[in-house]
Amino acid sequence: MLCDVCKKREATIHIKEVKDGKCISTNLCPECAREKELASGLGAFGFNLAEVIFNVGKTPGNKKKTESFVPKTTQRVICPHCKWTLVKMRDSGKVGCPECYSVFAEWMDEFLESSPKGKIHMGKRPRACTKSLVALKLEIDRLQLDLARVVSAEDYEKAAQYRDRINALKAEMESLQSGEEK
Amino acid sequence: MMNRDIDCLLKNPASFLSAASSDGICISSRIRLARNLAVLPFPSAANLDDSEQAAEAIMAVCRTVSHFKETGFFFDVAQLDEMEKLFLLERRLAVPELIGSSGFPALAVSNDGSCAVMINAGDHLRMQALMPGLQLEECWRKVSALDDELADSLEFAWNDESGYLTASPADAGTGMRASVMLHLPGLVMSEQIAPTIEGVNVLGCSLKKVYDDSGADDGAEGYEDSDNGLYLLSNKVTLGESEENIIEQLSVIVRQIVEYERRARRNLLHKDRFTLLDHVGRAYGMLQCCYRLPADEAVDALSALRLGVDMGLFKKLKIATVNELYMELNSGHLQMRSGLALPEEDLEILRAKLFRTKL
Repeated sequence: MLCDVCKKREATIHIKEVKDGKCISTNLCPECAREKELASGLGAFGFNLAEVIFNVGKTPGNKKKTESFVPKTTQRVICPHCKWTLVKMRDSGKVGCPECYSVFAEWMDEFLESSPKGKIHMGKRPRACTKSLVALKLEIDRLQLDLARVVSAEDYEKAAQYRDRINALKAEMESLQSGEEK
Repeated sequence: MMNRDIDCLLKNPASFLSAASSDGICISSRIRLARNLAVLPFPSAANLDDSEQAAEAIMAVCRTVSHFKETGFFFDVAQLDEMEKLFLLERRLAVPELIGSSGFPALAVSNDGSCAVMINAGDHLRMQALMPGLQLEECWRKVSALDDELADSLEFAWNDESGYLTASPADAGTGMRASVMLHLPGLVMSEQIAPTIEGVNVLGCSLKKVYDDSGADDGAEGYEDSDNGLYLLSNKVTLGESEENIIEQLSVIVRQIVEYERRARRNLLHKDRFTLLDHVGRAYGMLQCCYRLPADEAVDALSALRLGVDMGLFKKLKIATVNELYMELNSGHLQMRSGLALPEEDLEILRAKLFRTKL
């Protein structure tokens, strides 16, 4: 990929900036990045080349390494509820409040410890929370996969348990659907 | 003056080390759930007012749930002295994050020590069930019931997609860490532990030394780099699988590891009998005769003794004595028993005396 400024040299620095909810990408070669910083174009955003280079490959704790890095311009994203920043999230591996999950949704994947099956919660839910139709459908799909697995392993006791659970969820789904229609 | 509730806990032996439910290889099982209040910032971003509000609200509810009502113990952790904090760590009722928290850390413990709720330790709540042997399913039933009771009065941070929202996104989803403490000296002595760890990693779980410096989450003190065979197996995945599936997968792995360990022990007994006898005998002799005993040496030697007892090499020594010593050798316990804050040199003398008396 060529540098967005000189259009000649290979871009090695890729900056993503979130402005008014839109993500703007800029790709720079080291020379243009340095010039831009000297002209305080990037400096005004708190961009520091040395820091970016230092941060490449730096991940919080024992987290898995990410393919991309977050330059400082995007690190200005702040949660409006708790004032937590992307920098803090990357440094500590933590977020500050429930809202952070939507504010930092774009960067969340690298922090989650999810199953190869997917990134949708499949487990317990608070008793007070009724299930949504989508969640029920997902859970039924998952259980049907599990059912097929245990049937092929000839574990019929377990298969019966899965079948009963699927039937219960289907009944729950039907009652939810009829409630919505009313 | 010693905290009265700590004194009660000290009088009872650690229930998770009860020998009755243990097969010798699986020492204990624990399930911990992370939960947060929906209306307050997580402890990572909370100010002191937020933390105080969270601690008060959670503690008020804890006092009413069946696990703690009337018989439970409640601690304002900041009010405890150093040896009392150490004692709670050693009993695995607290984690370093709770002890080190400056934002109103609190703790509720059930009468038998099998259930606990840590407040303001990384997340607003970390509730756990801790039981002897391989009892992950039983732990899950216990801690899930506690979770349900608490959720009746507290609104937890939750959404359909990400499940329970935790301060560390690596815990999001189920918010569950299930772990089993295993005694694997056979695999260590036969140099099969490294491939076992690798295999467990491939299966999406982790197998770490209990006394590993990096395993701070377990609440264990970091001893030097010796391998006494005490390992902690735990899940890594928290999102995209149900709790039951995670527990089932972990239980399957535990059974396989137990089988490998038994095979390794049989091989040692048949093919390298004198190395095994020497390993156990030296540890026994050292513990019976020493006058200064550092904690790491004590744990290493006790592990060898445990192996000897499990393999029927001792006539009189019982596993219950080994378990008791495993807890009592710790600095917090020694200081609590003597009622004095002591320097490490004095603790070494006291520890050696404990072993000479008990063995």
